[in-house]
Amino acid sequence: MTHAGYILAAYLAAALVIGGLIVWVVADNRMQKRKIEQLEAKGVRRRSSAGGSGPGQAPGQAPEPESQP
Amino acid sequence: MSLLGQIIAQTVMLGLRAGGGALVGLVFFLAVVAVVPFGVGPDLNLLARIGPAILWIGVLLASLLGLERLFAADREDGSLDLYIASGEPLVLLVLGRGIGHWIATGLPIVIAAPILGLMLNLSPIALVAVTATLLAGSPALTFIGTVGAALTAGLPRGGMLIAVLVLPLSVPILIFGVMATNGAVYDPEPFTAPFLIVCAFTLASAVLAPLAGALALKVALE
Amino acid sequence: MSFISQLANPTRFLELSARVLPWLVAASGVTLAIGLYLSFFVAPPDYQQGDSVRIMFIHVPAAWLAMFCYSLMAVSSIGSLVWRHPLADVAAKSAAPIGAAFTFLALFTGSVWGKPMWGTWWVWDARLTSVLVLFIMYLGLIALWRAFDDPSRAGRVAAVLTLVGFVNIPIIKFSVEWWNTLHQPASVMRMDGPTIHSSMLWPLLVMAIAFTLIFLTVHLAAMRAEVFRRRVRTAQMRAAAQPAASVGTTVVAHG
Repeated sequence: MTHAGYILAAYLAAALVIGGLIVWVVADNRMQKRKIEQLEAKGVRRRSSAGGSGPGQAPGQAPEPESQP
Repeated sequence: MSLLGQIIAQTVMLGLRAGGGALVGLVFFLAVVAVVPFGVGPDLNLLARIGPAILWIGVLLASLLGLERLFAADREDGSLDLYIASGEPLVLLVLGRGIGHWIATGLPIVIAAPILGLMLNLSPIALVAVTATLLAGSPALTFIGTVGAALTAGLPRGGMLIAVLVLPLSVPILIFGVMATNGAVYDPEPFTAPFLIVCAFTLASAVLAPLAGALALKVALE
Repeated sequence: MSFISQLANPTRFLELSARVLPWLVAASGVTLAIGLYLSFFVAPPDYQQGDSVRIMFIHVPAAWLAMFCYSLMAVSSIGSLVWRHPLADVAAKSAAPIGAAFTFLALFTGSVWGKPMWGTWWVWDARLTSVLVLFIMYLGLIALWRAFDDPSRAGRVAAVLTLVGFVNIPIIKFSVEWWNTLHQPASVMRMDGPTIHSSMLWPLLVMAIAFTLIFLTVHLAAMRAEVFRRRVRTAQMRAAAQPAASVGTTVVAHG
């Protein structure tokens, strides 16, 4: 009673699911980091990182939205 | 009239109105039940066996109709904000809307169920049993639906999402409702126990759903 | 509790998680390797099922993780609603897809195990049906998360739904006892202790630990991505609020 195909299918599915999760989370992290770098290159800084006026802050700008994590 | 009574009356009137969805729900129920024999074939014995389940599923789907607008209309025209500002408990609003929605949409469907059951070749015992279980259990479906409606009150197209959210939670009621009906028809199977469980679901959801719905409304409003 | 309130600061969370993550990855890899070795070379073939019992070493941990993940989301939901912990809904949101993946894995491996064992890919008994319902609930939560623009608002709405759906977890756990099911009754998490033989219990436990570590690793990384995603959103909103100061128009990245 070997049922090798079923066992293979199960472990393959596990590999694909876990592998897929890893790929998803790594890709997501990379994409978000890239977007942050792009935005910072345009001069959009976090309030806590830029100590006062940084590049790209025009005088009389609109009030900033509430803080998000 | 008490506040709860007023809310119920208003919900019933809104539901029975032209765009309210009550009559559409009834027609939808008829359509669902009529479509099934086309799918499974006209074998009357088969239809008699799965008939109670078809009716229950039809009631479940039809009760999802009209949930989308249950709280969305209140939210859009600002009356939800007024209600909260007035200090009255939100649970009362959710409970009232739930009861009103059931009276307007659920009750007509439950009344129509035995008539449609005849088309599905249900025996007289089955007809009585399915109507009784639907009467006992369809309020539970509506109450669970109000939770889904409250959760999606702020969304533009919450309709389908409500169905996805509500259906998994409705599965236990469906199971016991059909179990009770089958118990009445087929001798060795119990009727009383599943029927009482269906009643318990309705009573429990009448209490818990308004709590969850009120919380969801408060949260969806922020 | 002060550790958890320390973690309320997202920047601190990012620092801590960046340091913890490599260790988690290493621990996951090592435990998984040991678990796989035990599953294939140490555990004996079953008297009745032969080698297909080895599917259990994937199926059971996946099912445990599916429920563990939902419980974690439920706790996070309480954190969101009661204490308004800023990272609670980050934790819940990032956990949902992982939980869905493990639930799918449990269903798939269960089906693939059931075919040689019971002769059928699927049966509508209480355990399988309630796990399927759990899977649908995960998908519903993911859909709810995506339906809102504002992630904080989405978080609180999803928290309510998560708590409402938590009723399904005890149903799954006890379904094999309350109803006559085709699925076998509990043999590990029982009041009297496990009934499974130690030669199979150890690979099972090691695989369970491995899966848990993998879950924690992926979850922590997903939380980091979610924190970054919200920062991107805030920055984009800020960029849109600024009048165009430079010579050319500022084109805000979408996505």
